Amino acid sequence: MLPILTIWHRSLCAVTGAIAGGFAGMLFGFAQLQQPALTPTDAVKVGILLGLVAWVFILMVEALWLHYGAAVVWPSLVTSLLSAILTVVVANAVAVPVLSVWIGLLFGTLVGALLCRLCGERVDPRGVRT
Amino acid sequence: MTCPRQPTCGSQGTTSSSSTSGVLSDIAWLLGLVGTVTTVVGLFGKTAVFTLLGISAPVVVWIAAVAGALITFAVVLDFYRLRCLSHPDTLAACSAGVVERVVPSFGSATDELFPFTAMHDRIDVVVKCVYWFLVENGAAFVQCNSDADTSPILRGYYKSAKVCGAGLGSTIGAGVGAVVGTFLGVLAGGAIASLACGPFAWLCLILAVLVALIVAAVCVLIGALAGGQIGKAAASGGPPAADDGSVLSTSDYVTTKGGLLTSGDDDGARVYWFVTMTTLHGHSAAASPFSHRDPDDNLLMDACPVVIP
Repeated sequence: MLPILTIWHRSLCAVTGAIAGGFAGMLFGFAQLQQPALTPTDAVKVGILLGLVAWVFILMVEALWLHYGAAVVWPSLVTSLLSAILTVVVANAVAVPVLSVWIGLLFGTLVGALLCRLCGERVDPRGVRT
Repeated sequence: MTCPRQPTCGSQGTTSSSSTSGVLSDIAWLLGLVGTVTTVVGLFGKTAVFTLLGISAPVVVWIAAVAGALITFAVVLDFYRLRCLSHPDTLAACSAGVVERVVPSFGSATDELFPFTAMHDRIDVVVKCVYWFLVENGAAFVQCNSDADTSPILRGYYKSAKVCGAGLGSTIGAGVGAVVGTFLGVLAGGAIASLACGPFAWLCLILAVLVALIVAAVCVLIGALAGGQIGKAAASGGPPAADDGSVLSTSDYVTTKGGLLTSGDDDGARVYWFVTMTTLHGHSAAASPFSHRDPDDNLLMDACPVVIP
C-alpha cells in the first residue's frame, strides 16, 4: 500500500491536512487557469481565505458527519490554515495548475503529520481521544 | 474467575490497522482525482466562456461547479457504500457481557439533517474478561468503560434497514441535486466573475470559483436530505433486539455472535460488523457504569462455545 494512503488511514491529523491542502490546491489550480501568478503577499491572503473555507468543510465532515465532536475544532483550524497557506504559496511558485491539488495533498499531509507529532494525541483513561 | 492480563485502554500504538474513517481518505483521493481531471479539461479552454442551456460563464466557473457537485455526490455515495454495500473481511466471533448502552441510529439532529451519515444501531457491551482477547487482537484502539476497573467494551452494530434506505435515498437525491446544483453554481459564480473588479480581479476570480463550488455542493446536500428522508420513511425496522424479539436495553446480559473487524469509524477498535445473533440472558441488578466483574460473576453460562484464549 502507498505510504501516503497508509498515513491517511492511521492519522486523523495527516488526513485532515491532506483534505485542507487538497481543497485549497484544487480551487487555486482552477483560478491559476485564468490568473497569472500572484505576489507572495496576495498568495498568503488567498491561502488564508481558502484555509478558512477548508476548515468549515472539515468541521462539517469530521465534527458533524463522523461525530468527532468539538475536540477537532481548534486543531483542525491550525492544520487547515497552515496547509492551505503553504499549498497556495508553493503552487503559486510552481505555476502548473494541474499539479496544485497534488501539491496540496502532499504538503497538507506533511503539515498534519508534523503537527500531530508536535502536539501529541491525548487519550483519557477510558480510551477516549480528546 | 481468574482473568487474563487486562488490555490497555486507548491507542495500541499499532501501525497496521485503520484508525480513521475510510470516508476521510476517500475524500482526499477524490480531491486529487476530480481536481486533476477538471483542471486538465479546463486547460483546453481556460480563457473561454462556455454556454449550456442558455447559461454562460467562464470555463473555470463551470469546472468549479462540476467539481463541487461531483465531490459532494461521491462523498454521499461513499457513506452509503461503506455503511451498506461493502462486505469487508470479518472474523467470526462470539462474546458475552452486560450492555452498557444502546445507541440508536438517527439519534441526533445531524443524522436527520444529513441522513446519509447515520450509523447503524449499536450496543456497547462490557465483556467478560475471558473475551478480552477479542477486544485486543488486531485492534488499533481499545474502548473502555468509565467504571473503576475501566472495563474493556466491545461494540456491536446491528444492520439497520432505515440507515440503508436513507443511504440509497440520499444517493439518488444527491444525483438530482448535482445536476441542478451545477447550473445554480454556475449562475452564482458567473455573476461574481462578471463584476468589474479592477485591480482585485484575482479576488473576484477566487470568489467566483469558490461560490460556484459551494452552491453546487449545497444543492447536492439538499437533494441528499430530501432523498434520505424519503428513503428512511420507506424502510422498515426497529431498535436492536435479541433473537427472541426482546428489545435490548442497558443492563441486559447478552451473548452476541457475528463478524469482527477493526473499524476506522471507532478509532480503530474491534467491533461486530454486524451482530447476527443475540441471546438475552436476563438483567443485571447493578447500576451503570458496569464493571467486567458483574458479568464475570453473574453470567457464568453464556451461549458461546468454550473458548481457549
